[in-house]
Amino acid sequence: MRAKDRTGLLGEEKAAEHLVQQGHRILERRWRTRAGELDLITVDGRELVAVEVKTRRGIGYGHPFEAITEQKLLRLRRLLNEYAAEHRMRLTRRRIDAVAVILQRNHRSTEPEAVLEHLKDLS
Amino acid sequence: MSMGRARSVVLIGMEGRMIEVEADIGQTLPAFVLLGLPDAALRESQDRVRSAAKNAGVELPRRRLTVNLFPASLPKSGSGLDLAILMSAWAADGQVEGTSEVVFLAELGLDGRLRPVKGVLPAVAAAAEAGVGTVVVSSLNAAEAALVPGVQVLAADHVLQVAAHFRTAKAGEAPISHVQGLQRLTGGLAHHDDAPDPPESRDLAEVRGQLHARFTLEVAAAGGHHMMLIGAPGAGKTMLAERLPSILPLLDEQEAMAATAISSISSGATSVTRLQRRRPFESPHHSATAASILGGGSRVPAPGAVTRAHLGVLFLDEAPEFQRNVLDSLRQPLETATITLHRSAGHVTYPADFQLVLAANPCPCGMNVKDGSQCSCSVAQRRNYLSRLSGPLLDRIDLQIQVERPHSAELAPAETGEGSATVAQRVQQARAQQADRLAPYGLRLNSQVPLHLLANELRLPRSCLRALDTALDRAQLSLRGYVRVLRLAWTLSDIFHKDHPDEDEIDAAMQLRLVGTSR
Repeated sequence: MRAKDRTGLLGEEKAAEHLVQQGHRILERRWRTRAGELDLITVDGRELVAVEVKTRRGIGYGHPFEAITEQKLLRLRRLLNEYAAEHRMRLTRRRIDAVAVILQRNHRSTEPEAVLEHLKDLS
Repeated sequence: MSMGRARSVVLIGMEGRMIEVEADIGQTLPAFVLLGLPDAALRESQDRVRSAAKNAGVELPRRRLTVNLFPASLPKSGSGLDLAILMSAWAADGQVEGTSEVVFLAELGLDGRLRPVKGVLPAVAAAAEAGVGTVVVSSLNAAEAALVPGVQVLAADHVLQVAAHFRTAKAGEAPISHVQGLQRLTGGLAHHDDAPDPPESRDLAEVRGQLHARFTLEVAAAGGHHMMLIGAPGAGKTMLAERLPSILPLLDEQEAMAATAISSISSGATSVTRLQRRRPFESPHHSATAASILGGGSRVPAPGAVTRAHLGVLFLDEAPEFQRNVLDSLRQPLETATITLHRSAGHVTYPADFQLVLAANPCPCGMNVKDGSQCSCSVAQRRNYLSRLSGPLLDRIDLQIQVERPHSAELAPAETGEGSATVAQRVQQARAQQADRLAPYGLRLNSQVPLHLLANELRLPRSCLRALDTALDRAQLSLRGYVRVLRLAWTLSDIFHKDHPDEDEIDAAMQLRLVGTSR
């Protein structure tokens, strides 16, 4: 497994922990179709949520959120619709969230420290 | 609340309009949205603002930042809003406070330094008029901003100094806390150390001989008359014209403000540090285009030579060599003392109250003087040359004289003429006298007096007008020429401290007009 994939997986784990704490129920992790992948699919209250997780080691290459473009949002929305259709949730309200995970290496432990930011209902 | 406000000013021509800058930080993906008709230079300010904030160490939040420029319908241009945008964004983020009633006027460098902008004087004046008491500018603009009375000017070199001044309790963090404070200036107080303008380097004393031309120059200065000098190359036309500002009275407070505001919007950003008292002198080259003379450019047009010569002298050397449409386009500003320029983005009106001085050779080779024996031009060339100046333009020029080459006897070292200071004093007195007389009619100079005033309130006794009436009847003089002679006669009587012109003044005034080309 490559380093960047490990970073991504670690970030997703941290994000999932955070969302569960916030009261989300996680339905899927890395749900894939031919058109693409949704990092996390959760239920928050009565809403179906697709969560895009962006993980970075430091912000030297820009903030994680800056990597989410219009195009990417469009794809996420399409994928979420597809998921809802497949799982008979056409009538459920849907939204898209983003979680930024910034991993900072801590000197004491081998486990890097994660700073999370959570944006709800991107439009 | 994640809203912040700051103020700034944009200039439409010479007129400053207050702009309210609102910033809102939303909880969505990072973006910078600038609303309110910004132009390209202003749109680029997004990147300057973000970089400046980051490099100053007080980064803007990585969220959607919406900046609205009110009033939204007014097209805005220029980089002077940079600082206001950043301050409103910081205010929205809770880093600074108390910015909503302060005008910010500066461009930002990527490292956060404040750069000077053009037109600070008219912008600050507009802010003061709108009732804003505090203005923040770049240090390089501080002296200029402080020319406006009653304004508190805060000047800084770096955006962190500004941030420190307005910081909230929450934002007492490292980068802000240990910067030096702002420089404070109070507007209108700088006049005390207002050193007098450096003495005019061009003095009338340097003109040898040329008594006739010198006197004409004095008349032009006293009455504000437009003038044309015709003479052979080397006769001293340019030399004389360049010395006209030295015998004109200095600008008063209000006029100096207007003249300085014009140089503030048209010159480099840092050159204005004090009020300009000396009258401007503009001498565009004869290859100039209509846009450079009148003002032009895309979107909101920039002022041209007629505006830079406002309250001063516009000198057109080799006048017949100018493009005809350029010369004729001067007719409107000559008539109304303003110039209105229309462009797709709207129209602006600039002041253009200038005294026109034309200089011309008598013919293309320039030697058609006295009997014309040295002239190598054909008859047709001679006839056509001065006719390039259109009748309607020449009609507006009260004084038309021949400048002759100086005689060797006049070059004797002992023979220095009067200096500018002496002449300027007489001009000042003559102007005071006419201002007194014309005040009831709302005028200041003889050159502004209309026909109906000359024919009624300021009518002269019939005996004085005999020679003039004869000339009119014999068609040696048009009615417009008649009016001009009367105006000149009034100016002459003011120079000689008479109550009204006599036959002598009328006679002299006719002499000052009836040279070869006039009608």
